Amino acid sequence: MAVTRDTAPSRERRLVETFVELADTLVEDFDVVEFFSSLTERVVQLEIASETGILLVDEAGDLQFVAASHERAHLLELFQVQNQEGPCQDCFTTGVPVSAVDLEAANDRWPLFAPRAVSAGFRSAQAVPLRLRGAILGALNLFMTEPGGIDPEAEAVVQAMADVATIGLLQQRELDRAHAVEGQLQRALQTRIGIEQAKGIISERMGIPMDAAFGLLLGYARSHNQKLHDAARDVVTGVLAASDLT
Amino acid sequence: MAEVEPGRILRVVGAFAEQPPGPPELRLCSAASKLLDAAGVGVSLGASDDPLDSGLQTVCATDGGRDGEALQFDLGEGPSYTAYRTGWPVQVPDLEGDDAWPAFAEAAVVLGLRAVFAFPLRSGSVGLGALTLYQRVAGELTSEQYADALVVARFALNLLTSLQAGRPPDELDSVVTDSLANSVEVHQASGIVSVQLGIPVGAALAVLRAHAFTEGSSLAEVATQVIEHRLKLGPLQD
Repeated sequence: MAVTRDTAPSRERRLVETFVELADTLVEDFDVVEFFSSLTERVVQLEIASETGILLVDEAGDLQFVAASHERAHLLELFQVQNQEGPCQDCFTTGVPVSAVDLEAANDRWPLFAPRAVSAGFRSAQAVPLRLRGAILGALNLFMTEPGGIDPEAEAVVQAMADVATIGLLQQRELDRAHAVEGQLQRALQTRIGIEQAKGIISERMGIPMDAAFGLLLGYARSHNQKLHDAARDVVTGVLAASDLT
Repeated sequence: MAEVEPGRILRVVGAFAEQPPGPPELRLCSAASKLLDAAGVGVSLGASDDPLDSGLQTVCATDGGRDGEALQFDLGEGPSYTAYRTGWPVQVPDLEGDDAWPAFAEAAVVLGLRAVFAFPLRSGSVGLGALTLYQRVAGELTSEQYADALVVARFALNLLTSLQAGRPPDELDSVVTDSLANSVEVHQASGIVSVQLGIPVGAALAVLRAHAFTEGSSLAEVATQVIEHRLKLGPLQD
């Protein structure tokens, strides 16, 4: 990527630091909000934008604020309004970066968003998509106090930041999925053990063999439209008496 | 796992790949046994956060790991149980004279075991089970072996998780189902004793274990006697 001579070494170095620091957070106790907060702060430290924030698309298709370099009211309001219009909304709809190089001249394009952004002290804005194999997961938003948008040479850096944000998001989803599956494994094992324990309880209470006890439990679950493991759990915890199974 | 160097991961994966074809969980145990120079290896799975409710079930073990796994299940205690419950690795480099558990060490020495190292299979706050290494000679793990063991444990966790992935919650993978084959009667007997003594099933299992321990028989034998009504247990004496 091309960078100007005088800012190149420090910006490059800080960028490398950013990626190293972000990679460090991709571990077991990963927290996606913390990760995004750290990323938005870095964008500001790199002097690419005055303020930044990340919006993600929720299951209902709405843009939700997740993190910002500064959680100030005027900024949060700007994120809020993007569900109706603004660079982030356009970016989400089109899937490409959207620039607002002069917000003071953007009232026709965004009658709601532009005047609010200007009154909050911003003169230009940029939204970069968090993209994954054609899907748009959200956008990285940048606000600048000067017109003209971001330095063209910083665009590659910003896209790289957005890609890092996407990786962070995937990491979180992967962890969530793994945790869900692990919980399932435990529950499934507990279920099987619970059924065996229930068989023992029923067989002893009713004075019948194990297979007959199982038949009784199964018949009860079916006739009461219950899952077998729910009925077994009720027997083991004493909620359901063995004598009530017949 | 951020600090793990890629070479270590490749070494573990390499050891796994070198094992002859077979069930992946058994290849994992054999690979761990070879890589870590262990006399035996076992992977066990817990059903709830308190392993005493139903015990850790052995999913797979090498020949040299079976005795130690069975002993811990019979006693309801030992390094694997502690690792599972606390989430921390438990290292017992010399079982001779160890008194961390009331009964485990002495009984393990009788079986010819001298050192045990148990690593929790855990992700975040979810404890899943344990990977346990058994040795017939006393001695510490080297720091290299310890680091390798942590990677193997992570590998075991991923393997167990992937075996379950995509299945409905009440359908256990056959591996886990098979692992219950040896303990089905124990859980049934827990149910029977819970009725006989009017106590929860977890406490009933403790009664079964105590009886097996004092009689010097296996938990499975006691369970069979209870199911066949050849044995009726009294409450635990304080």
